[in-house]
Amino acid sequence: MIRNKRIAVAFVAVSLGAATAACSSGNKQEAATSGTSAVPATTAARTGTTVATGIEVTDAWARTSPMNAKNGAVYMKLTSAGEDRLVGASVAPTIAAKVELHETVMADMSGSSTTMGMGADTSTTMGMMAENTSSTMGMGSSMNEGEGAGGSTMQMKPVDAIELPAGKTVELKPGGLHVMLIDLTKPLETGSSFELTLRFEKAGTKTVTVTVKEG
Amino acid sequence: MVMFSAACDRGPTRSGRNGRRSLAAIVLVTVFVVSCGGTARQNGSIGGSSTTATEAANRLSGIVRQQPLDVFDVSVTDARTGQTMPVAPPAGELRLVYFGYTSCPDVCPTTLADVRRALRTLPADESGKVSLLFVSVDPERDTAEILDGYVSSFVTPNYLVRLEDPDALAQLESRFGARSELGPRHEDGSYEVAHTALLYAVDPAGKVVVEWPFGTPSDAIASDLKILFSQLT
Repeated sequence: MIRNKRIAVAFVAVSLGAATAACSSGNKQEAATSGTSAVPATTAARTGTTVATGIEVTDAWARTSPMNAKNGAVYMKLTSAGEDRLVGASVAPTIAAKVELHETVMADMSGSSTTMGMGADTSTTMGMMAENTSSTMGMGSSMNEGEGAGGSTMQMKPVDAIELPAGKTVELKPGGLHVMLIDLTKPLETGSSFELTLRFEKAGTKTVTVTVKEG
Repeated sequence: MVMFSAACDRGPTRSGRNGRRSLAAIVLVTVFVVSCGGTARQNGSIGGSSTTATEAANRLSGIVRQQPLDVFDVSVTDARTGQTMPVAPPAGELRLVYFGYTSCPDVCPTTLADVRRALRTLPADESGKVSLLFVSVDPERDTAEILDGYVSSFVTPNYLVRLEDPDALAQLESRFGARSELGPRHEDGSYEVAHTALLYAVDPAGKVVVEWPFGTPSDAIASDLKILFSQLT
């Protein structure tokens, strides 16, 4: 108990970014659409006749694969004018043997979800924490329950589909949703690019160019 | 492989469990520094006085435990050289420790790329004093050769730890409050590994002086490293 009391984790403006988006397992919808903003109607209108099923893909990139890396990941921003689902993806066999949709999630292996019970001696701090939590931490505040963040592990899992709510930009980004390239045929080199074909439930397929960068 | 001296081995520490966190909890920090200050090591410890430690803790972006984990007694075998070495770096240096695996396409390369970017922004006299200790949580697939190519693509100098005995790995992980677990095998025999995704900095006194959660921006890591260097005494 004494030892527990000694543990104060000072969080000073850590941007938890993607990690926090992925940390609430079982809350995929939220993770998938976090950090998004509604696409202005005018943007959708500009796509003309494809409004109903128009898919916009921007910033598609993959990290330069480290030497000896078997797998890679592709990230991008996806916006569908109409509600749709990304259900699959493929690349040429010269890039990778297999492609899967994956999500990295935070899993709490310690099983404890609440550790906020503090003794009376720390009530002052407690109030301070609550205030700061609401103002600066947002959803990140749940990340380090348990033993700092050590009780939580990050884990990848395949997903059947990535939901694309109408007009919302869904970001595939490090620590969250990504297109996983399995068994890379050759290393992904900085500055190169390759084609990735995305398969949507309603909109059909769309091929995008993925830029390889250090990231 | 992993050696613990009898005097210091506290076994798997649970100090972090149910630990409290706070945001810039100055009050708490002050109280705990006073109550725990006596445990600080003499040589090379970050934060020679409680005031310095408090100031440093307040300025760091990463997670700072008021009772830093102590890995001074922990030695590992570098898979590349077969040499036994302490986890703690030599005087005047800092060592980053990360538990990961090379088949990991998302979290591990993201963190290592963040480290690479952070080190590039540091002046050479500081970046040259930072090394990375990478511990594989997937020794079955991560041979020494694979680890070498993978980790060296990001950060050098580096040290590679590959513990085939799951208990030895778990024991080493526990000293950092970390853990990992192999996922179920897929049809093709592949599997994922769930693992703690924190990046740790260890000072020459063997204190785990800061822990960065996944997603900490590289400039925050760089800034913290500069602070840690300024605190090395």
